[in-house]
Formats: sequence, C-alpha cells, structure tokens
Amino acid sequence: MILDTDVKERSVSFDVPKKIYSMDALRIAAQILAPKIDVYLDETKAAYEVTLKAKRRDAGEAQLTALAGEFGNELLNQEYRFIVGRFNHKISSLIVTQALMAARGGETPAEAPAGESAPEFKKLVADMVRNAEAEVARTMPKKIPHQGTPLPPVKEDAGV
Amino acid sequence: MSRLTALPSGAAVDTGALAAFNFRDMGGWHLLTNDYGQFLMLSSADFSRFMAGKVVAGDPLYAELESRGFLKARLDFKQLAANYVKKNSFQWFPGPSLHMIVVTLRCNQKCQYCHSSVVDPSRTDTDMDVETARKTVDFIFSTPNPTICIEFQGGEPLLNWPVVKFITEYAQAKAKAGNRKLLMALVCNFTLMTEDKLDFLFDHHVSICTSLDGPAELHNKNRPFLGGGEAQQKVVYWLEKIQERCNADEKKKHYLPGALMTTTRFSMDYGPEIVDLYVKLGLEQIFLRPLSPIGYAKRVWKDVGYEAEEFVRFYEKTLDYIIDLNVSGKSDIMERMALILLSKVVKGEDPGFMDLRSPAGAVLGCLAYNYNGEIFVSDEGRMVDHQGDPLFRVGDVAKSDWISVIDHPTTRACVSASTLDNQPMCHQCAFKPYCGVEPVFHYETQKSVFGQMPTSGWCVSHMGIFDVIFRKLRDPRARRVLDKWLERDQCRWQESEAVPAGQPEVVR
Repeated sequence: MILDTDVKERSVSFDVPKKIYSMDALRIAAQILAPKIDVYLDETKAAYEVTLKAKRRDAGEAQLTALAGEFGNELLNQEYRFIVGRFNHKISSLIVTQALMAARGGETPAEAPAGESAPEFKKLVADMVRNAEAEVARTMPKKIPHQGTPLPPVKEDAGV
Repeated sequence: MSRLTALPSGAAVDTGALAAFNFRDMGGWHLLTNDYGQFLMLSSADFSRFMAGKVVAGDPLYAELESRGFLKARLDFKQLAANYVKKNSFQWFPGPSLHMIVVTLRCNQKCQYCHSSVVDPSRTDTDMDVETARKTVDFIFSTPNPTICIEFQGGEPLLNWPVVKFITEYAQAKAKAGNRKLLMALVCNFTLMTEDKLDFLFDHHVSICTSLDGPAELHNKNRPFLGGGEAQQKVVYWLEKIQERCNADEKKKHYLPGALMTTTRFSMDYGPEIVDLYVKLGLEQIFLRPLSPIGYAKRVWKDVGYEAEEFVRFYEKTLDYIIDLNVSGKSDIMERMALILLSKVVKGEDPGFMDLRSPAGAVLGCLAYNYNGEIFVSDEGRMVDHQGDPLFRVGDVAKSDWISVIDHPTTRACVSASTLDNQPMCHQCAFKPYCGVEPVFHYETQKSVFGQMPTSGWCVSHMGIFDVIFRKLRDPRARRVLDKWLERDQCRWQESEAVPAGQPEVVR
C-alpha cells in the first residue's frame, strides 16, 4: 500500500484495488474507525481512492501511517469475513436459525399457568407486594428523583 | 497476525482420505479437532503420516482416527451427530435460563476495575422498585426455558434487600404455580450481610457467591470501601461463618458459598497467595478470571489492566501451583476455567458457560435486567448502555414480550457475530469446537460485534488458556488431577439434576 501523507491536513491517502476489496467492506471499516478518523472515498475504474483524516489534532506522520495500517487491517478483516461467510454460509445459517428458533420456543408465547389465575395465588402475590412496599418504606432511604447517567462516555485512547 | 499454525511447506497431504478437521502445531506434537468435539493429540511423525494418507487399516492409530471422525471414508454419522448435539446442546435450548437482575446500581465499594458501572450509595434513584421487580419476574417466567436461574447482581444487591426478598418469594411462588425448575443465586460483597439475611437466604435456597481477590493487601487495594476501610476481613468473616453453618447441618451442605476473583495487574505477583487463601477458607474452587476492559475498568485500564499474554502466563503459573497442591495431597481445590474447558474437551459436554459457546449465550442463554426494567443481551451489554450506548438494549419488562426480544435486530446480530463459522481465523482454529467469542467485549474493545480476531485480546487469552489445558492433558501427572476434577464435578451435577421441578434448588 503506497501512502501519501499530509501532516498539515492530518490526512493520509491510498488506493484500494476494486478486484480485492468491496465497497461494503470499505464502509464497515470506515464505520468501525469512525471515532478516530473521517473517511473520504473517491474511485477510478480499478481502485477506490481512500483518504483518512485524523480526528486527533496532534496526529503526526507516524500516527497517520498507523491509522492507515489500522484501516487496512480492518478492511482485510471485513473482506475476509465476507469470504468466510460465503464459504460457510450453509452451516452457519443452519446453526443461527436452529439456535434462534429453539430459543423462540414456538410461534405463540405460552399462556400463564392456570395456577396463577387462582384467587389464592392472586392474594398471595398482593400480600407479597404490599409487604415488600411496606418494608421499602420502613427500611430504605428515601428515593431521590432520577439523576441521569452518572458517567460521560469513555474517551478514545483510554489505553485499551 | 494470525496465531494459527500452518503445515510445513512441501508437506504431503492426501485430501481424499481426510475428513474435515482443524489442527494446531503444539511444538513437537499436533492437536487435531473436529466439529463433533473430538480431538487427538498426535506426535508430529504420526500427524505427517495421517496427512499423507499413510495410516491404513491395521495400524493402531487407524481405529482411533476412525472412531473420532477423522477419516473421510469411515464416518459414523449417527455417532458423530450425537456427539455434536451433546457438545452443543445449548443450540436446542428453548430460551435463556440465566436471568441476572440488577436490583440497584448503588454500591458501598469502589473497586478499581468495577465492571458493573456502579454509583454512590446516595443514588437511590437507581434502586429497582417493587412494581418493576414484579414485572421483571413476570417477564422471566414468560420465557420458554423450563429451568430458570435468577441471579441477583448490582451494584451491591444487599443495599436493596426488600426487593431481593420480594423477587425471591414471588419467583418461588410462580415456579410452584407453573411447575418450573427455579434456581436462585446472590452475588454480593458480604459487607452488608447479617444473620437475618443469611437465615432468609438459607430458608429460600438462595446460593451465595462473593468476590474475594486474595490476601488483605491485594483485596483491599482492588476493592476498597467508599471512604476507605478494609473490606477483605468482612468477606473472610462471612465466608467462614456461612461455611460453619453449612458444615453443622447436613441439609445445608449444598449451600457452601462460592467466591470469585478478578485478576488485576496487582494480582500478577500473588498467584500462590491467592490460592492458599482459598484453600485455607475451604473453598472448593477458584476461578482465575481475566479482567475485561468494560465499564470502569476501561477508564483505568492503564493502571489496572495488562496484556492478554501476561494473563496467560499468570494463569499457567497459578494452575501449575494448584495442580502441585493436588498432587502433593495438600488440597483438592479445583480451577474453574480448567473445569469448564475440560467438560467441553474431555467429556464433550456443554458446562453452561455463556461466553464460550458458538453462538454465544447473549439472549439465547442469558438476559440481564437493569434496575429500571430495561433488558440487555448480557450484563456486559448493560454496562455499555450505562456509558451512553444503548446498542445492547433489547427490551423493557414493562413493554416487551419474549418474542420481541428474541426477534430484536441486536439479538440476531449478536447470534450471527458469535457463530464461529462466520469468523475469520476462528473457523480454522483447532480450539473452535470448544471456544466462543463475546460480541459485547469486541464491541467495547474493537468497535464491532464481530471483532478482529488476529488483534483481539479475547482471542489471545483464550487460545493461550486452551494451549495450557491441552499441554496439561498430555502430561500424565497433571492429567490424573484433571480427571479427578471431572469426576467430582460429575457427581455434583448428578446431585443437582435430582431436584424435581417446582422445588427451589441451589446453584453450585
């Protein structure tokens, strides 16, 4: 892969052969790396022309080269995933369908058991709810209004 | 870079004779596995003969290759299909059996690595209320699996004790009315345990598990109280207390408490000391678990995290120590991760571990319920939501039914992404029949539910652990210990299976 880096623009450009890589793989790779880069695409007859623009303002030559490598790895991963998916399509579809259909447990959800509509059961549950609410009121600290999500989203480059 | 191993260049291969299989060069010998869960450990010379189609009828190796489904012309489909179904029984399960309820996000500890995205004890707005608890139990009982396991999590669940009690009693009433098999478990930090609470848990067959990271200096560093103070003494006190009560009463022998440890960077130098403490406390098992960069742990990864390779080294060293203790007769403590993998590899059974399945246990095997009734594919999915990304939210107990959860696009994406036949590298890996990938982990670390296996820490650590386990299986001294563990584990499950539906049962 021949890289054309422009540190001033925080960008790196390269060509991706259409014979090997699909637009779908490019789009997925771009989506996955979206927190770090903006991706611009153009195309010729034989290749996609990719330009990555780093979101970090301090990205230098080394970082831009690393980002291009990271993008290339993800692109390869996605394209190869398509190949594996096509190759194993029959078996993987069978496994996924089997697992989902078995978990579904049939088309219509099971009715609640008859025992739950009995008056004794309903009374038992009503007592339980009443007792629990009374215990909450008696023993628990006063509930405060909802305060929202306690954490801001994690920043990139948290060291993971 | 792929961690798979290749054939030597120029190696003779008779493709016409070979059934589908994966292999791994283990350094001096080769491991062969196939989708039926069968494996063989061959010397490199035998492996070359096999690949070249030179193992013929009458050769002692021929019968073994034949019986394990490695010879294309000699496949016993009926037997191999039975093996496949036994190993992958979860693919036929009618919905999730494990339901994790977060009854509060509040916690009185501030663990360095907390996965659970907890909040300060003053944040009572994050307590589950009784009405939501009731709807959560109703939703759980609307899922089709005849066996239901409810696990209380947090935050610190004992901070919302009335709701823990309510859920326990209500679920047990519903299990009785519907003749469902119900297991209940509480995961708590023990610092708020009392005799009264313990009586209730014993009376209602709720099994108890806590976190114990090791000796006081390590545990208290990893898991400090909010505002300071020593947590480890309380954990040890209650572990001993509960064991004392269990040992004094034959009926309570199944209630022996469990403990889980989380490995931080600080734990790396403490392997033997951690094991010694577990042995001293009479704990039956230790689970050497890696830390995941999810939740708060992601924020402090530079301080508490480590490379996957470092964890594998820690795992092997500590497992060696545990095996030595067993060989010398000083202890019969078992290591849980090894036991999980051995159940899959040696017994060809699924031990019910959600993370190592294909497809993974997300929704198919487990669901997590937040304090406000939101439903997630797993507890890790809930933590991602806590940080502002609702991708793994698949419903709400107030609005959703089971069909809408299982048909949710995120459910389908997780199932598809965690089917190893769809995964580059995994589909060719010798550990594929026993392994699994976790969509939430990869979304958190690699921004995609599919992940990128060649650079995945998940893959590095699990392949490393599989390497360790298969090497132990080839070592007669270690193998004797591992076989004994499997035998003991089998007895435990047989006892558990004997409990009839409609009766509360103990999770072990």
